[in-house]
Amino acid sequence: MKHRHAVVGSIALAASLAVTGAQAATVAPSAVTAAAPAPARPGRASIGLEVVRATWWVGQSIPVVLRARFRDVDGVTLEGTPEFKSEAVFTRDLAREPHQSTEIVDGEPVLVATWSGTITPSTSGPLALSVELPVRLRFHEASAPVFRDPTDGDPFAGMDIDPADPSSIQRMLRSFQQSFSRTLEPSLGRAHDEALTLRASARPLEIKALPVADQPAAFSGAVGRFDMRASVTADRVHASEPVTLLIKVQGQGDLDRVELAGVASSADWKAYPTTAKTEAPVAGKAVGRKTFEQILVPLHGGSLTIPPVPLAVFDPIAGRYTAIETSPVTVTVEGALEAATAAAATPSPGVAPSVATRAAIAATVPPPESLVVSPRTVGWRLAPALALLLGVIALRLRPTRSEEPSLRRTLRRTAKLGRGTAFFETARRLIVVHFAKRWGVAEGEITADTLRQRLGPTADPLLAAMSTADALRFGRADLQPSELGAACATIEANLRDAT
Amino acid sequence: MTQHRSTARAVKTLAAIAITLSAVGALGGVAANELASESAQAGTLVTLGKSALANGDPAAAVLSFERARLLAPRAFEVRSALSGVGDPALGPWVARTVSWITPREWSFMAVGFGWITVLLMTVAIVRGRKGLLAWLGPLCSAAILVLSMGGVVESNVASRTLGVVTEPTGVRVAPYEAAGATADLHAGSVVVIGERYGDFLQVRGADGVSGWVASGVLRRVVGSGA
Repeated sequence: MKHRHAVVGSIALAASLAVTGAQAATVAPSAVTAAAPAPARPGRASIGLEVVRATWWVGQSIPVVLRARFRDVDGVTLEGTPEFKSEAVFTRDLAREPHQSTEIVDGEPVLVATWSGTITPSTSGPLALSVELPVRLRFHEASAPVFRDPTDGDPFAGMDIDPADPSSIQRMLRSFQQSFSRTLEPSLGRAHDEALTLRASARPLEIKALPVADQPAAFSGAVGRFDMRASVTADRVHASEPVTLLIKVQGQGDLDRVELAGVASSADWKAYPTTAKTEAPVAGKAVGRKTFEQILVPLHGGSLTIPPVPLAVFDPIAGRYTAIETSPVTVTVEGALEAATAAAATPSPGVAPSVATRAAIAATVPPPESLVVSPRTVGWRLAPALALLLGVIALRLRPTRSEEPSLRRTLRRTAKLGRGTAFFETARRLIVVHFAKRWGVAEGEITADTLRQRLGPTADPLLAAMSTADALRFGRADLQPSELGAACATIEANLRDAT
Repeated sequence: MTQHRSTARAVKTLAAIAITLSAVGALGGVAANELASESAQAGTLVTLGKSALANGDPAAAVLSFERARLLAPRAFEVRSALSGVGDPALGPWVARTVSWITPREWSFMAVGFGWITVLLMTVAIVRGRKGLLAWLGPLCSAAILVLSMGGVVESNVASRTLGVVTEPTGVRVAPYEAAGATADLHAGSVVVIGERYGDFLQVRGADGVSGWVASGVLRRVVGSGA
C-alpha cells in the first residue's frame, strides 16, 4: 500500500505564513534529478540530503536530514516515504510525516518538507548515499499560449442560429466555449498534475572498520555512548520464587546492535534468557532506550546479590572500546540457606526461548490447580474460629455443672483465712446450688422454707449458716478461723448427709 | 461473688477479642504474603505467555495470560497482554464481575469476615446476649461472609469452566465426528466449557458461537487436560 500524505493543500496558504531569515538560509540540494518528464518550470521540486561530516564508523548511527522543496505549486502529495537506495545501510527512526515549513527564496514562497533520522552503515569503505522520494505535484502553467482570434475580436461571432441549418446550434455552442476559455486561461493558466520521483545524493562517505585490536570477546557490535541501569521487580522474595531483572540501556547509538546475555546461572541464581524491547527515540531527540528482562530464580535464602551485567561498547567519539556495567542488585530471599534443588535447564544466552526453556520457566509458576482457592480451604481456615465459638459456648454452659466444686474450694479457703462474710456468702450459694442440682429445680426455688420442708431437722445447721451469712453481711462482723473451720465441717457433713 | 463473676466475664471477653484479633492479624499477614506472591507469579506468567507468542504458539500464550488474570485480574500488564491477543469478554455478567476479584482475595474476605462474625458472636454470648446491636453486628458480618463464600464458589466455577483451544477446530452441531461444523475456532480462542458427552465438550465462544468440539483440542485454564 502506498503512503499518501498531502503536504499542503495550496501554496498560497503556505506562502501566507511568516517566514524568518534563518529559515531561508538553508543549504542547497546536493543533486537533483527527476525521473518523470520535467515540469513546466525547472526547479519546481527538489530534494537535498544533508550529512554533517564525511567519516564514520561501521555501526555508528549517522544523523541525516532530508529536505524537499516545492515552489510555484498548488499542492504536493507524497506518494511514499523517502527511501535510501544505498546498500549496506539500515535506516532508523526516519519520521513518517515530515516537518513542514516555508522559506522565502528570491521573493517567492517555497514549501519545505523536512525528515530527520539516522542511518547505520553495516560495512566499511566508501559509501555512496542516495535517496528517492516519489511525489505528485499540482500546478498551473502561468504562460498561456498566444491565441489568435479568428473572429477579429467579435465575441458574438458564430452565435447566430439559422433555423434552416441544424448545425448552426452546434456552431453556436462551440463558439461559446471558445469565448469562455479565452476569458479565463490568461489569468489561471492550464492545470497540471504530474508524478515525479525526486532523487538526491550526498557526497560519498568514508566508513571506517572497527579496530580488531583490543576488541573485547563479549563485543556484540554496540557502537555509541550508552548508560545502563539494573533493577528488580521485587527486592524481597521467597526461595524458588522468580524475580525479574530489568536492565535499561539508553543513549546515543544503534540500540538494535546492543545485545545482553544477562546474568549467568550460578549457585545463587537460576537464570533464563533475556528478552528485549526497544523504544525508539522521541522525534527530535537522539536518545533511545532498550529494556532487557531476565527471569532469575533464587536457589536458596539469604541476602543474594545479582552480579553486574557487563556490556562492551565501541565509543565512536573516543575511537576505542569501553566497558560499561550495571550496579549489583541485592535481593533478600526468605527460605533455607542451603541450595535448593536447582537443576538449571539454562539455554544459551541471547537465544529466543525454546519450547524446553518455556517448559522450564513454566515449572516455576504455580500449578493450574493452585490458581483458585476451593471452599474447602476456606473452611479449614475458618475452623479455628468455629472452634473458638464452640469453646465460648461451652464455657458459657460450664458454670451450671462445675460451680459446686469451685464453691467448696472457696468455702475451705475462706475458712482458713478467717473471712467470715465471704465464707457464709459462699456457704449460702453452695447450699442453693447443691440442692437445686440435686432436686432438679431452679435455684430461685431453694428457700429456707423449701429446705425445712424437704429436709426436716437436718436443715437446721444449713439454715443457721444461711442466717449467719445474713447477720455477718449486714453486721460486718467476723469469726475466728477455728470457728469457721468447724462451721465448714458441719455444713459439708450436712450437705453430704442430707437427702 | 458478683464482682468475681463480672471480672471473669470481662477476662473471657478480652481473651476472645485477643484470640480473634491475633488470628485475623495472622491471616492478614498470610494474605498479604500470598497475594504479593500471586502478583509476582502473574508477572512470570505474562512473560511466559509473551515468550510463547514470540515462538508462534498463541494457544500457550493465551493460556498463560488467562492464568495470569486469575492471579492479578486488575493488573495493567495482564490486561494489556490479553488485549494484545484479542481477548474476548466471555461468560455472563456475574462471572466477569466475580473474576474482577481473584479467587484468593474472595477466600480471604470470607475467612476474615468469618473471624469477625465469630468475634462479634463471642462477645454477644459472653456479654449475656442482650440488646439488638449484639446480634446485628454478627448478622451483618455473617451476611458478608455468605456473600464472600458465594464469590469463592462462583470464581471457582467460572475459572474451572474456561478453556483455550490449542489447535484450529470446527464447532460441531452435535457431539459426533460426522456432525457438521457451523463455525471455526482458531488456536488461542477462549471458550466456556459446558457439558461433556463422550470425547466431546460443549463450548460457547465469545461471539456467541455454541456447539461441540473434541476434548483433545481444549486445555482448561484451571486444572489439567479437558
